[in-house]
Amino acid sequence: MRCDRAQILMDRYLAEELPAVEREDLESHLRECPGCQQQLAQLQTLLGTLRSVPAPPVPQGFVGRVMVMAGQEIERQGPLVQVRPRPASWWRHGVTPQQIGFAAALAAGLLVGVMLGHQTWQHSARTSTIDRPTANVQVTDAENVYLIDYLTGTPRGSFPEIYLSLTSVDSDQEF
Amino acid sequence: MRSDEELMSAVAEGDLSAFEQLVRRHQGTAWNAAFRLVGDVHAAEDIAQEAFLRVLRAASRYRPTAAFRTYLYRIVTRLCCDHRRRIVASPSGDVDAWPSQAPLPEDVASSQEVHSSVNKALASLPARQKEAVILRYYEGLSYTEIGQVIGATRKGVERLLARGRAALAGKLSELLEE
Repeated sequence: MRCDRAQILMDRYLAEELPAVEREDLESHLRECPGCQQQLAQLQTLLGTLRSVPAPPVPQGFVGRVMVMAGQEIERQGPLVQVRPRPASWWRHGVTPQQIGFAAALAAGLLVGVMLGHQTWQHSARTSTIDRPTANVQVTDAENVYLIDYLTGTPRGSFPEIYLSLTSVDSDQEF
Repeated sequence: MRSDEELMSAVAEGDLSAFEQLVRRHQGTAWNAAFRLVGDVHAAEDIAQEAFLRVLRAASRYRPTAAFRTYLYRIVTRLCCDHRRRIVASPSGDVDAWPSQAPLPEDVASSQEVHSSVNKALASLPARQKEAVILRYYEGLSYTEIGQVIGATRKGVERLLARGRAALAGKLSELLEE
């Protein structure tokens, strides 16, 4: 047995908690190792010193005070017996900020997914039912290019209307 | 005599006399651990009282997966941890909290010095080492029980105790050489 292992086992040796095999190994090591014998003696002294310090006695009337507080607690909270279905563990322990963040990210992802799906569906419906512009017609209108026709009909001066006017080429000016 | 677990079952059924029996049986456990951990009689009493009230509140959810004593130590240790967070710890144990009013004979004065040095050395340990040392050397818990109380593996407890002992031996070297 090595000295570092012996020194770790000394605490349980003194408490008589070591299994027989380890105890015999340690005793065999101690017989041959004066350094560990000294360590064991020092440990005994240290533990003796620690244990020589008493804790003050339990304050008088402690039990009575606890019982008074228990009575008050029951008055406030109702009887001890409260048979309630146990809520799910995540609810019982509260929701952490990480869980809230995860839920928000999941919800945002779902929303984006639904919007993209909706847009794709609209696009495919349009391309199948509306004639595509012919080659000699230049489609420069942002409504058609970017499929943002849902912005038409917005009030004058509103952001969508300004956006459309900026991104669309006035066909009268261009041609 | 009813076991702790039987008493807890009775408490869960609303039996306050069973709760009182538990408090009587374990008041020393809660009080000593709290006092050793916070080093202040008033705080220790508050913590021990609160620990028992938590036992009462949680009685209906209590499952005897470990000994009741271990369960109580866990509550006390957590409350002491909360206390430490709130209060800047005094560097010494509150030995003077139960002083003798009469002049001390020489041997008693000397033992008071030893107590004060030991309490100071304990108070200077990092929180986890201190918990492990107190639960082991004052409360007599096994490594496994300490692990259950403070949430550490058996190896972890072994390491905490080894470091704690080494730190205490260093701080109390003068005392130990006498």
